[in-house]
Amino acid sequence: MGKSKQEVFEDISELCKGLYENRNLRDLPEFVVSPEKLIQFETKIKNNGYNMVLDLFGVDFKDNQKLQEYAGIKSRFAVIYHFLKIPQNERIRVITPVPENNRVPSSYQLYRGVDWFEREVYDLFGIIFEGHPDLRRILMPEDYEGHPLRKDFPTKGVKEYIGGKFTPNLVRLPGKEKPSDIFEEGARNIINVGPTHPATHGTFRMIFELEGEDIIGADLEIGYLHRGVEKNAENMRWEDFIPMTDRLNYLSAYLNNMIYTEAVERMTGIWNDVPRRAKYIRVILAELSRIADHIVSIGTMAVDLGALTPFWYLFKIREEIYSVFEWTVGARLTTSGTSFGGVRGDFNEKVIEKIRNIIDKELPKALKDLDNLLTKNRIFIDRTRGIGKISAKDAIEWGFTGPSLRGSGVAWDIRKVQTYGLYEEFDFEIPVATEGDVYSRYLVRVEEMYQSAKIVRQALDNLPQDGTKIGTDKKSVLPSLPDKKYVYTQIEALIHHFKGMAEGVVPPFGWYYFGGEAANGELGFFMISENKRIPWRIRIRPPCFAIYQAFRHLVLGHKLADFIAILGSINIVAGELDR
Amino acid sequence: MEIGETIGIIVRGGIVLFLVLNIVPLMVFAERKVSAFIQDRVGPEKAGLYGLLHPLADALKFILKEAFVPPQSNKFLYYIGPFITAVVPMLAFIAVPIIPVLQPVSTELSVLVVLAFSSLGVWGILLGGWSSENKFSLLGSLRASSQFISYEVALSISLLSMLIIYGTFDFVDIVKSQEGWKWGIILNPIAFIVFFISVLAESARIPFDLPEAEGELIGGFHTEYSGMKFAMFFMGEYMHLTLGSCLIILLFLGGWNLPFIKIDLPDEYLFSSVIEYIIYFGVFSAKLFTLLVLFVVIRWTLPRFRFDQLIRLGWGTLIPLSLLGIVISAAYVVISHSK
Amino acid sequence: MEKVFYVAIYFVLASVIGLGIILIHLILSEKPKESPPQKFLPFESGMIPFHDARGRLPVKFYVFALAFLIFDIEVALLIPYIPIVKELGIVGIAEVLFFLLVLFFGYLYIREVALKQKI
Repeated sequence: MGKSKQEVFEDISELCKGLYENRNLRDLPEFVVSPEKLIQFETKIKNNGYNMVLDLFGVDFKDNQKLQEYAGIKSRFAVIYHFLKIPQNERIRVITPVPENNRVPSSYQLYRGVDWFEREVYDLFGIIFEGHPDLRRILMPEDYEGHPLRKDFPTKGVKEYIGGKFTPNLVRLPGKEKPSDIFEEGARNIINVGPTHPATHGTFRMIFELEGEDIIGADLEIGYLHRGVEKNAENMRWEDFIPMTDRLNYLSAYLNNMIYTEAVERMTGIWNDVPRRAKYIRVILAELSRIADHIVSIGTMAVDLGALTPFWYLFKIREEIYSVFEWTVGARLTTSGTSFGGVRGDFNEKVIEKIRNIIDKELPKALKDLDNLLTKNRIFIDRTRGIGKISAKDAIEWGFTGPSLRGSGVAWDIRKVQTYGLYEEFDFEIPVATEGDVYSRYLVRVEEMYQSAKIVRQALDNLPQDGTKIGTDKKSVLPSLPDKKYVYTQIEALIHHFKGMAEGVVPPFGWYYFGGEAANGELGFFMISENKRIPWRIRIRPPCFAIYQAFRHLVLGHKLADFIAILGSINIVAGELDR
Repeated sequence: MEIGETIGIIVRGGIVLFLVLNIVPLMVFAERKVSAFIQDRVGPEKAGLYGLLHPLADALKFILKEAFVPPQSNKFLYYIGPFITAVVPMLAFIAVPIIPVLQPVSTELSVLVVLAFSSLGVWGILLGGWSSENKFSLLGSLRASSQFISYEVALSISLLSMLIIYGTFDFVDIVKSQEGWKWGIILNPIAFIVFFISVLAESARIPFDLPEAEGELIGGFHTEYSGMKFAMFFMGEYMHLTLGSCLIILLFLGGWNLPFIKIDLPDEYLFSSVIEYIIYFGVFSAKLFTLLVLFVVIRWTLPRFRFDQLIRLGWGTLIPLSLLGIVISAAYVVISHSK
Repeated sequence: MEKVFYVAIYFVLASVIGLGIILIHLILSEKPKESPPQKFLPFESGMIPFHDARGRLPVKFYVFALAFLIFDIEVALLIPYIPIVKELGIVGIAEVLFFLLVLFFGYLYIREVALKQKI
């Protein structure tokens, strides 16, 4: 059955000028496809099992011939697609040069999951996707001038902007597109939910059209928390971007730190030199923050459904976890706990004891309480079963990853399918629920907490003792650094050392994609380095973004009270959504 | 129309209203402390000993807040909403005998009077929500009216089934006939369950707090209310809950009777009837607070229903159950009659 | 008739408390300051509402009111039976049960037809 990977590549590379052959040495197999042939190409790979558009983003190569050469294109802009085959974990990258008129065909008809990604590229680069049914600005307001991620757009902005125009374009329940008579029209009711609404934990706006209590139309507005993280990344050192990653999914900041750090380390090639103890500490803290993230997700969903008590039982654990962070890296919420080549802070006996206390005593106790209060609660089950149902096929098509995808019955976890972190050394399982509804996603999250605790336990038992950092004098981190003994004796070496340290880590020329399993799904970093101290572009692939675009389709036909359950179960974090 | 009786009404009514109004801060305090206990927290503790003065501080804050009225709303209806919600439960206490001497107006139709007054409460929420000119308020008040009338049916049918057993409309007679072991809860447990759930629903507390469901409707019917007007809705809710608990005690839990013990002090002592009443009052209060704390515990344990589930529970489950309750009562009457 | 008078006294008592609370609030409350116009909008999650809140409502909400009427009248019909339940004895009980049986068919109808539709 099916063709081998090689055969597929041979097949599809006919469409892309035979550029595949010399590209297979990079992190992903790459294809340069002209916009005219894009749809044809996508049809072909879709038939060959590439079922998810993991990411879609634009790159501006303004006046940078070296990078254009590297990308294999001549135009100023390029749209880059990452296609993923689940469950085989085969990925390909497709680069589409954007012609002078800034128009490329939209992939919406083939992959619905590009919906918001194309809107975002349109918004930030001004590239028009022909055939997209709903091409509006998404992060910026409707009447904003300019496209912020273009290289000629100044970082400080063009002029002060006040307001935030947004015209809703509601998606309606099939059969309810138009009111059938004047009575039905009068009975419809459009309400704003958010940005200041108790159920929107974070700032985003939903617009619902109601018929009685039924949601028959929905639209979403995001961008309230858009801070231009990707634009900022183009103006700061690679290391300085670590605190920015804290502010993506701020509920599990350490996971973001860990994934970004590992991405740059792998790109630079120092990953293998990172001491094992550092990697173990990263895994422990990352899994603890995964637990903290799931706690917030479950707790706030329970609060919105009216059950306040489980929230408190769980938040006690979160508090303990944050105190572990405080004891280790000094910060609680925005940890910035990693640095290239190691971690900040180390465990001492007291912290280890604290962690053991959490995972062995308090967490199982709280989860048992949760089990009694929610999991077996008839009202909770009635409220969550069959709500916000999404099939495995749809979930993959929309670009779901993480617990939301596992809730639909796809055993997909990057910690298992890819070498990443040191997760291959630990024994854990991927919890999967089959229904794809709110209850399934809830169960997956609960079970993942147990699995995370299991990983932490194993890591604590085998914690290596070989230091937490690559020594700064090691040339593996900064190859330009002079030897330490010369730094102390010669002024030139000292100056070089100073300069090298000030510039920080500089990854080699080229680009690199690395994705890890964050609490909500695959958090990916696509980085383009010019071999300079600041990156040319860092693209963040936020898991929420892909999941939230399906939300307005998930709520249709449900009651008003159901949207909070669905929203809670997919755990949208505005910081990550808007970047 | 005697002067003595008129003064008696004012005195008894004053005492009852005083007690009922003071249940509210007490319940606010109990709610906070019990929820804190349930959730491993300390709870409010700054004002007064153990935070006893927090409800007072709240009341002060509510009174001193700006009396804001949304300009789009109908001012009269906007004010009459919380007024009705707060006053109606007080009115309903007109015929509730906490102890026999503390029934403001004694009448042999006391059950009907209480039922009639207590069901007026929905007007306050309906008018308040409608006059606010806010979509969330409107949805909340629509939910409230649907919910209250749905559970009113189950409530009155289960009440009826108890009346069939007692054969009277007078609370005092009802309580007297429950002396010893013959409590309503034993005679007709089905009716008790239906009545209990209906009381919970009628006072709009979790799991039935859909009218104000803060997760989805922000504040529900009181989204546009602030200050004392909001507090009056709050008071109304607690007094309604107290009223419901009193009804449960009078109808099912033997009123001021202790189980299996007949409190009957010999008449020769000087204050024997006074002591008797004090004991009655103590017993009734103990039952009342047990019930109220039970309601608080339920509130902090369960999540909230969805609107259609609530309606389905009311019409699909509770009404047939309450009809079954009538059958049980009928069977009881037949058996006791044939003896 | 004098009971009505007593009830009226109690009415006045309770209403005075209710009105008193409102009056105290109106007198003691903070006087309105000059405020931005946003304060006077109905609260809709911080956004300007699309349209007025008063409009037609779906008929679904009224169904309960109709069903409620039927059952409430039924309860009212049973009330006169209570004082004489002991005198009528088994005959009376049989009559009540027959009445309830008829009502139960009505209930089944309401359940099947009116409440089956989506709320």
